[in-house]
Amino acid sequence: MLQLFWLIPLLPLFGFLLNGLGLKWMPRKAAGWLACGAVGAAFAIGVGALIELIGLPLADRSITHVLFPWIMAGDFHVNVAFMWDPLSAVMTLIVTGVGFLIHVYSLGYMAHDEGFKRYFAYLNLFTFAMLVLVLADNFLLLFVGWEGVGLCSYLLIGFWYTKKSAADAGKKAFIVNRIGDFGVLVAMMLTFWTLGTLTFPEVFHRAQTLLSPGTAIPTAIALLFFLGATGKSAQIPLYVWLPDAMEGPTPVSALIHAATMVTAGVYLFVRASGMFVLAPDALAIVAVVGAVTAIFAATIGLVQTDIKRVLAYSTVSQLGYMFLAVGAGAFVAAIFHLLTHAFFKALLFLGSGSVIEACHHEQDIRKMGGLGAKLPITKTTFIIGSLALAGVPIFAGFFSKDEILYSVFTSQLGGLGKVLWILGAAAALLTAFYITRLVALTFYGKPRDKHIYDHAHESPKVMTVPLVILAILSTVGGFLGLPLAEKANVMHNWLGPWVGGHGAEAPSGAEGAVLHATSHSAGLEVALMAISVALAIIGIWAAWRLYIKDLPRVQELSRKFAGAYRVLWNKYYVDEIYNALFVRPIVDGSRVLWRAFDVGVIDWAVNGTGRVLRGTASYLRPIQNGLAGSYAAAILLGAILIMGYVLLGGWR
Amino acid sequence: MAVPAYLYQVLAAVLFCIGVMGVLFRRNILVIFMCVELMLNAANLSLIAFARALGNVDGQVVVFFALAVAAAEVSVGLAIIIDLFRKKGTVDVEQVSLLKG
Amino acid sequence: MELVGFLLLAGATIAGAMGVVLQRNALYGALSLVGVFVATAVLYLMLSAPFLAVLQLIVYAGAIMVLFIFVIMLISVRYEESGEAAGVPGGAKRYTAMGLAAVLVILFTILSFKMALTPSGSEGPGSITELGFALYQKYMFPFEVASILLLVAIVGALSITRRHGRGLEGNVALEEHH
Repeated sequence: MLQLFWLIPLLPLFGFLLNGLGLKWMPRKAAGWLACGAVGAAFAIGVGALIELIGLPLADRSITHVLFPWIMAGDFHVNVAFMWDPLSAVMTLIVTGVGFLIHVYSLGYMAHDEGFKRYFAYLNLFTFAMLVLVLADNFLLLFVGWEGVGLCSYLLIGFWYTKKSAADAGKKAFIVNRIGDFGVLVAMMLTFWTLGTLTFPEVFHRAQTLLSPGTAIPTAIALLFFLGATGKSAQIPLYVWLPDAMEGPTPVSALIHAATMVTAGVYLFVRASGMFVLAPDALAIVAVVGAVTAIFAATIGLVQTDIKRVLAYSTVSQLGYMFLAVGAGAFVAAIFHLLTHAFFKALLFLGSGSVIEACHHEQDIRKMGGLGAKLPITKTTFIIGSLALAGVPIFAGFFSKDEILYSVFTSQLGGLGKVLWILGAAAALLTAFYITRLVALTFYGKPRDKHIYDHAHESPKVMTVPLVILAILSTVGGFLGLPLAEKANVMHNWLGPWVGGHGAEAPSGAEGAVLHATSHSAGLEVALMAISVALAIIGIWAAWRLYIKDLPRVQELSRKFAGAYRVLWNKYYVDEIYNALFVRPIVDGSRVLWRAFDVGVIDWAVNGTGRVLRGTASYLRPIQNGLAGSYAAAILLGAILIMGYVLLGGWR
Repeated sequence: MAVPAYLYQVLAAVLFCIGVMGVLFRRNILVIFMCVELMLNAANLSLIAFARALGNVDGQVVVFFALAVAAAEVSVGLAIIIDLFRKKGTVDVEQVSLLKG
Repeated sequence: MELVGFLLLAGATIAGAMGVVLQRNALYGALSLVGVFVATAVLYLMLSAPFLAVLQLIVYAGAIMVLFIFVIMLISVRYEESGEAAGVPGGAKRYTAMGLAAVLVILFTILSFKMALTPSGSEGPGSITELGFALYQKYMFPFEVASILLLVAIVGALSITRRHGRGLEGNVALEEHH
């Protein structure tokens, strides 16, 4: 199985080709099963390959399979090759595992949709691209996957393309991503320029020897890659596409905008951590941006009324946590949080999809309420997901979020680390609050819309079973990263040697986070844990009290703080600001250019050529008068000229 | 005294030019054709004069063939003229401008 | 002496050429062309090309011009460029013309015999012997090709003037128009 791991991306590709090319004649049911089967088979192979990888001794745990040499241009060699090591194995299992559950869920969710087959083709394509991204053994192939998931994001967000808002959202996602991609491209060029290679093991090896820490080049590379990460992983300033991306079908939001695609930026940073540790200033910036994004998005999520928007901003916020971890050097923690987040965020999105289905595609929580009685499974699983998100112990989110906060506090960022910890903790409080608000308004209290309540019904098994599975994972998933127990901490023992400067060389057994300044203090960790648990409980309690027991007070508060409420509800008017600062000038400039240059100059020249030709032709046409005599005269004239020329000595 | 060789060429040239004038300025297609024959004749004269001047007989051979070709050409050309006359009812070249445009 | 003869003949040729070009009546132009050809034949004689001189008379003056005159009679007689058809003068003018023509012919003949320097037509340079040798040895191929050319010309002339669908009868009445 280990030798076949390179099949993993190809199975969904095959599924896409069959479904995509066979759109006309493929039976509906078969299309769905084919897509699910492809991802499921990929998952199975992944599991097998993982098991075999575990069996290998530590130093051998990296296998590269070259599919074919791609670019051989002078010194520039890049292959299409996949690499199987602990990090890519983890990512692969997340993508295929959670992906499989979402594929199955979609069988139910999209059952009545016209574009059922197209949907599954796109989903398979996305899975393929994402797997290429995580399995690539070089930056260029990773970028291919990067662009591929961007494309699929566009296709899937704008899946219902006849709806203008959906089409616009798709465009917005792609364009904003493109800005980030520019950063990735320049970063790759810089990398190649200074190091002469783009293949991961070589890059990190050479980076350690050729680049000095803290200098301009590694910092520039890191920051440029981060620009790409802010686009793909929705951080400030390029996060604006993610809330709009909720126009797509809910399973798409679950898969792409919660569990996998948006984590590509995090993966990139962890994969290339061997190079980024050479740029501590850049990492500090990453951490700051991550923390600020976390709390910024959390504030917006507090007042949103669309069930999916709340979750969207929650995703932005949680991604901020992951980057905060990366910036603090806690790469393993970032991946750990990525893993747990995949579980509970996918669960939350799928659960919200279940709710939306039940309410006949109503997404406004102001119209919901009391649905818990009608949707028991959905309610229970959703609550489990919420608890995980809020960071309540024993659920998964608690362990990962906590490890991040601890790492930030004790990182080499020193005083900055403490400040960021405060931001992170505050964001955790808000997280607990807004998610509880969401639960309360959706599932509890009195139903606010009779029609919706009456027609609500639980979803079919094909949708609830994945919910249950994800709920179980959200509960026990955290135990992969137990704190305070070095031997038992699976994540650290598994990934530690492969990130943060130890990657792809003979790793030592040490911790991956080379940037820890202070030593591992058990007492401090427990204390910080206690604080975050307390914050979580406070947040939950406050929201519960407000939204379940005392709903009128909510109205009162929103009136008292009307200004703040409005700003938050309008997401700080960021979209409007961007529109005024960037979009309108470009559009207006383009229009001017179009009129002045394209029409005025180019069209004038092209049409002018035609006009000149026509004029000349009409001037010359009378020469052909059809009279043989004048033709003969012309011949004579020509003959005389030539003879004269020859006789006068012109011909040599 | 003997005739200087170049005089024959001059004569041929003069005849040729007269023929050209006829081709350009006459409207009756038959006259035009006759002027073409005149031109051919002038060329033949030139060739024979050269044959005499160069002392070999090749020029005369060429004229021999030119004669044959001229005969063939005249027969076909007259056939065309007859056909043209049948179709257009005129032999005035200025009224036959089918190639106009 | 030769020069005088040459100048006379040259003058005759040029006069005939001018006649072709300047005559209003096509038929008179054709007759002028015949004069040109005759004078040219005499010139050929002076240039040691007796065979070609005779050939010129037979082919050009005898065959080609006859063809021309046929066609002119058939066509141009109806469409003369000038308004007046020159009538045939009668009486004294006629006889004077005929007499003048006879004198001219006699003069030409005497002059030709006096001026022609070629000793014999069958030997020496430009003689038929030499010409024959050249034709049948060096220029054999063009000779054969020329015969094919003549065949093609015959076929071409026939096919162009043939009236479609009427077989042989169609070629007879040229006076009819479509």
